Amino acid sequence: MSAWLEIKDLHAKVGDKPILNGLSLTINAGETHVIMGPNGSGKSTLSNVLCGNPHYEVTGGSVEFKGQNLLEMSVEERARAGIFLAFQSPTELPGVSMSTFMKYALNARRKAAGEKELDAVSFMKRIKIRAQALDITDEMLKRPVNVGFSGGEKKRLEIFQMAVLEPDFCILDEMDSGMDVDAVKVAGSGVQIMRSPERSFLVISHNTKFLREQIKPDHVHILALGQVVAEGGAELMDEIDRNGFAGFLKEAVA
Amino acid sequence: MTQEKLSAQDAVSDTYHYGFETQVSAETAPKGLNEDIIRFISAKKKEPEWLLEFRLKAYRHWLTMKEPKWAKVAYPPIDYQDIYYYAAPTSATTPKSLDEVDPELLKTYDKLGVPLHEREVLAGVAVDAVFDSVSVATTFREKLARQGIIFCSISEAVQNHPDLVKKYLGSVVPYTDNFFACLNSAVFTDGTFVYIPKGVRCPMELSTYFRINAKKSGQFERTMIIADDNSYVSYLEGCTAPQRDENQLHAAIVEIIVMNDAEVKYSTVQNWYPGDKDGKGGIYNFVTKRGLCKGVNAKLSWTQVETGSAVTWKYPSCVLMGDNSRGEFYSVAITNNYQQADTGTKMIHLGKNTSSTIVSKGISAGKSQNTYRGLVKMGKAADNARNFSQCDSLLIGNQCGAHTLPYMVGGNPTASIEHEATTSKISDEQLFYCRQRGLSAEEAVSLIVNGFCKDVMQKLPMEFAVEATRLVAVTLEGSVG
Amino acid sequence: MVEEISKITQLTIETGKTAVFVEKQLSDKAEIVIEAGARVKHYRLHENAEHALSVKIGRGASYEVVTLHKGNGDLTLSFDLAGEEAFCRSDVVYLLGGEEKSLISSDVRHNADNTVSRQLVKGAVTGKAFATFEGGVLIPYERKKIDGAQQHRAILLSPDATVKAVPRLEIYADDVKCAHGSAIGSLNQDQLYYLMTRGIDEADARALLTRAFLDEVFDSIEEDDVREDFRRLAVFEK
Repeated sequence: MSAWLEIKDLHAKVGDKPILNGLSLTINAGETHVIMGPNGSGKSTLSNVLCGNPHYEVTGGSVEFKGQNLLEMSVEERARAGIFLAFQSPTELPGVSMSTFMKYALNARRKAAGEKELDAVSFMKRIKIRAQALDITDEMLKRPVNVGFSGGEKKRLEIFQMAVLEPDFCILDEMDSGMDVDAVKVAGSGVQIMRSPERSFLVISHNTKFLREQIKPDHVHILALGQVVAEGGAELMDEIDRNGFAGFLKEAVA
Repeated sequence: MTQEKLSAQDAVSDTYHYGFETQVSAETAPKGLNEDIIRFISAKKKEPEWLLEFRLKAYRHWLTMKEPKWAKVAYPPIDYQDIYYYAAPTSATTPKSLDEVDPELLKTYDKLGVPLHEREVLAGVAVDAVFDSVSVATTFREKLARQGIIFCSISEAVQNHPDLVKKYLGSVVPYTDNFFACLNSAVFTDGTFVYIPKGVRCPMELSTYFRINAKKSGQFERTMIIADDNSYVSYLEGCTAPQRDENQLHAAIVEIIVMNDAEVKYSTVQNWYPGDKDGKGGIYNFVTKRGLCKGVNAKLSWTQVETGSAVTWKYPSCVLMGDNSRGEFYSVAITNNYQQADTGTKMIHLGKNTSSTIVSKGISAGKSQNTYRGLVKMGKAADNARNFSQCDSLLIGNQCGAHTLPYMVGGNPTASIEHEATTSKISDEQLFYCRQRGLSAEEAVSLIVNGFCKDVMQKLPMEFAVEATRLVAVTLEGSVG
Repeated sequence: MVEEISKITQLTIETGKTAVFVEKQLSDKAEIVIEAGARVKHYRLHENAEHALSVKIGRGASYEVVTLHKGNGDLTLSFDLAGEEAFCRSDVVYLLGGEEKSLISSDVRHNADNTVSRQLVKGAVTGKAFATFEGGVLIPYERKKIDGAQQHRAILLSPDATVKAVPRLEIYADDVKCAHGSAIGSLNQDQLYYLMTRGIDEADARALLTRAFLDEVFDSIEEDDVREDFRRLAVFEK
C-alpha cells in the first residue's frame, strides 16, 4: 500500500511558540486515522500546517502528499491537490451563498486542472444530491456561508462541502463539538459514505464514543507536546477511556 | 407584465453597432469659454432664444462662482480656458487602430469579454462604424412612440418638444446649484431626453446604448427624465467596459421628475478610465444627479456601481416633495490604486409620510480614498417621514482610506432618521477559509467583496448585475498579495 | 472614593494611579493627561457655558468620562488615544429647550495601536432649541487593531426643535473595526399611549419616557451618589 500522506519530523511554531516538535505520521490510501491528545498538544496546529495556514510557520521536517512536497505549495494549491479541512470554527462569509461558494471552489479546481467550468445543470445536480443526503435544505444553500447557523448546522455544512468537492484527503477538526446526537449521526454517515480506497481521513477528536460509533478508525495516534507519543488501533481509545492522557504525557516528558 | 429586456449584451451583439457619428466636422469652436462660444454652440444646435438665454444666464452666474473644495478629493487645478466646449477635434488624439491603444486597456477588455468590434468604439478608435441596424433602431423607436414615449437626444427634444424641455430644464437642478452644474448649464452639448406619458409602463429597459442617433455627448452631458402620473420606467446608464475619452473633465447633469404614483428606476454602472497604476491620466467625474418626487406616491430609485474615474464627485439625490413619496439610493463604490471617490446621496424629506432608504457599500484598495457623504433632512412639514441608512466600508490593504460623513437634520418630532455604519477589513480567517476550498487569494477577495455588495447588486437589472459582478473582480485585481 | 474637584484647567493623573472624580463647575478650557496605566473615571455636570475638554490618554490607561450638557454654550471634546492599549469611553447627555442653541462636538483620535474607544451620546431637545452634534472618529495611516464605536441618539420633543447630526469617520488603516450609528426621532408613541391608559397624564408620561431614554447613559455610572446627581439635573425645568 502506498503512502498517501507522509509527515516526517515536522516542527512548527506560532509566533515564537513552538507547537509541533518532531511529529511523524504516515497515512496510506483508504485509511482513517484518528488523532487524540490533551489541549495544547498540537492537534489543531497540525491540521492548519497541513493546509498551509500562513499564521503558522514550519521550522523543520517534511510533508509529502501523493509524492508532492506539500510544504512548498500555497494554500489553494494544496486544496486543489485534494486536501480538505473541515474547520473547527468555520468562518462567516456575509453575502456569499453556499451554492455560489461551491461553484467558485469547484471551478477553481477545474480551472487548475485545465477542465471546463461546470454547466449550471450539472452543478445543481451535484450539490442537490449531496445536500439531500445530509439533510441540508435549499434554503440553507441560499443563505450566506456560516452566517446565522447553529454550531451543528455549520459542521454539517462542512461535511457537505467535503462531499461536493470530493477531496482525496480529509481532515476533520473537532467535528463532533457543538453538535447534537442526531447531527453527529448525519455527519458520521456522511463520512462513512465517503470512505473509499482512494480517500484517507485524519480525524481530530476527544470523543471516543463518536469515534467508535461514527468514524471507526483504522489507526489511533496520541499527540502530546507536539509529538506522536503512542500509536495503535482502536484499542488505544479504551486506554484513554480508562486513564485519560496522563500515562501518555509521562512518555512525552521522558 | 413581463418586460422586454434589452441589455448591454444585446447592444454589442452583431445586429447592432454603436451609432457614433464619425464624420469629423470642420466646424469647431476654439478652446476656451466666453459668451461668443456659448452663442456659437447654441447657434450650431439651432436652439431657440430662450435656451440661449438660459445658457448665458448660467455662464454669467458661473463667472461669480468658485470651484468647490469641500470634497475629500485632490486634483491639479483645471484650466477652464484650455478646454474645447464644442466638437473638440478628435483626429489629432484619436488612435487609428487598436494597435495604438494602451495595451492595459485591451487586456481589461479581454478579461471582461468585450467583443472585438465594440473595443474599437470604446477605445475611441476612429472607425467608420457602419450603422447597419437602422431597422432595429427604427422598430425600437416605433414601438416606444406607439405608446407616446419620447426617447431621444436632448438636442432633438429641444427641436421637437420645446415646451416639455422648457418647462423642466433646470427645475430640479437650477443653474445656480453648484459650480459644475452651472458650467454644464452654460455649455451642455447633448444627452438623453425621456418622457413617459400618463399611465404608461415603459415596456423595456431604456439604455443609453439605444439612444437613437446618439452623438458623442462628450464631457457636458445633460439628461432629463419625466415620468408623468402613474407611469414607470427603468433607465440604464453606462457600461461595464472601461471607456476611454480624451476629455478629462466630465460634468454631467441628470434631472428627473416623478409625478403622482409614478416610478423611476435609474441604474448606473460607471467605469470611466481611472488612470494607470501610478494615478496618471483618468477622468474627473463631477456629476449632479437629482430627482424630484413631485407627486403623491412618487418613487425614485438610484442604483449605482462606481468603479471608474480618477476622481468622482457625485451625489444622486431625491427631493421628496409629494406626500408618501419614496426615495432609494443603493450604491457600490470601489476605488483602487490612486482613485478618489466622494459619493453619496441627499434625501430631502418635505412631504408627509415620505420615506427613504440608503444602502452604501464602499470598498477601498491600493492607495485610494473612498468617502461616503450624505444628507438626510426632515423638513418641518415632513410628518411621519422615515429614513434608514446603512453605510458599510471595506478596506483592503493599509494604504487606503474609507470615510463616512453622513449629515442628518431632524426638524420634525414625528419623523425619524436612522443611520448605521461599519468599517472593517477582509479578515485573514476569511481568506484562509476560501483558499482552503481552492480559491486563489484574488478569487477569494472578489467573492467576499461581491458578498459585501450583494444588497446593492440585487437591485440592478439582471444582465447589468452579472456584468457588474465580473467588474468587481477586474477592478480589484492586484489589490492583494 | 469619589473626589470632588471644580474648574479643572490642567490636570495630570500619574502613572498607575486610579481616580474617580466629579466636576460640578467647569472652566472654559481643561487639559487632562492620563499617564500610562492610570485608570480614571470623570463625571462632569455642565450648564449654560462654553467649555472645551481635551484629554491625552497614555499607554494602557483607561479614561471614562460622562458629561451632562444643558443649555446654551458649545461643548468641545477632544480625546487623543496616544499610547498603545489605551481605552476611552466618552458619553454625553445633552438637554436643550426654549431658544437654546448648542454645538456639541467630539473628536476621538486613535493615534496608537490596539486602542479602543466607545461613545454614547444622547440628546433630548424641546421648545425651539437647536442642537448640533459633530462626532469624529479618526484612525490615521498604519494604525493596527483599532476598535472604535460611536452612537448618537436624539429625540425631538416639540415641533420646533431641531437636531443636526454630523458623524465623521475618517479611516486610513485597514486593521480596524469601527461602527457608528445615529438616530433622530421622537418618543415611542405606543409607549406613550400605554402609560396614558394607565392614568398617567401626558406631560408625566413624556417626562418618564425621556428619563428612560437618557438613563441608558446614567445606568453605566457605578457610583450611586453621582448617578443620582446626574439624574436629578437631567430634567427640563418646568
